[in-house]
Amino acid sequence: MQPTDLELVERVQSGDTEAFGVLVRRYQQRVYSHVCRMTGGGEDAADLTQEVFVKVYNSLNRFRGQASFQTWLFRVTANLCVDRHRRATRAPQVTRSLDAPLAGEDGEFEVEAPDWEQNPEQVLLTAELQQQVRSAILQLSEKLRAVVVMHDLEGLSYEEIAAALGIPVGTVKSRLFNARAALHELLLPYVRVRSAGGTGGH
Amino acid sequence: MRRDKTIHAWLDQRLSPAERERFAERQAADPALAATAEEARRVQQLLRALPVDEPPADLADNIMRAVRTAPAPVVRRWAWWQPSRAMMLAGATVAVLAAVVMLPREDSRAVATAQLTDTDRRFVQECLRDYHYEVSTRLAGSGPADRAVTPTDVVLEF
Repeated sequence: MQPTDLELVERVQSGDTEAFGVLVRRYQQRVYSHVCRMTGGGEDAADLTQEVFVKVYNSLNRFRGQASFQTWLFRVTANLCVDRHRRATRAPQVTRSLDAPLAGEDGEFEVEAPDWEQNPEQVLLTAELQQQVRSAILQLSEKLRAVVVMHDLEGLSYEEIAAALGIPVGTVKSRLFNARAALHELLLPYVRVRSAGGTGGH
Repeated sequence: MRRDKTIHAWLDQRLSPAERERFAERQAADPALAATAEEARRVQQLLRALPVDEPPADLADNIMRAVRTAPAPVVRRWAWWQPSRAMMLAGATVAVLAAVVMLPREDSRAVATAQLTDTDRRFVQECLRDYHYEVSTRLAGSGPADRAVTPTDVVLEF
């Protein structure tokens, strides 16, 4: 049976450094993925992920288990991502502005939208569309980006996000609402409903 | 885009069955709302379809290498034979108070003395403030060489 996060934390707090390795392997993908989505990825993402875990390790003697280890880890990750973003001087690398006109010679949109009719539940993103979605996320403010990444991409609940970011649940909802509205605008060419009749079920 | 909060509650499956039914009726009657809801759902699908970023294979090893060079974040656990600092301070306070109460009050300067560190003295001072006691301190000894001595005599006066 796998030890729980709290059991592993207690082992580390008792001097068992190797128990931290289990926590690292358990969460490295989620932290790395979160960092990539928040910062746009690149070589810095691995460095920042390492910084997150080292910081967590160094302050583990102050962890008392009031919040879950995962929530605490996400809090440290979110804070470091914000710090890194503020320090960064260069703008995120966007291959093409989503505000740029997309119309071709005949005035029709030239975007490679998914085939929503053929594959309504499981969307396969081409490399270009992946880049567009990532770019749209990066165009959000840090606050909106953190919430939408945690909720819609990583599946955290409102309450978990509130605990991780240290904000009320109502603020989480409002930021999520604004983030989705902004993404809707940015990604509209890819999601536009041509005929008003076809609504997706839920 | 219409900024309808019900769409987001619907996306997050946070509507009750009755609310969901009402929302379906609204969509049926309002094609624009239905289109907006469908587009919002598609946006969410695009986000969820993003592939998970795989960390470099050596990331965990690199993290553990960095961690092993850091001081271990060991937490001291309380044990009954290791009284906490708060308990020691409480004990010192009780001892001083007991001395005050039990000393004969021959004049207006009943005095109790105890050897306490500066930190303990400040704590005792806080505790006794409500009882209108004054706590003054004298450094042990008299010569300049003794001024480095940490424990001080505490004199209670009232």
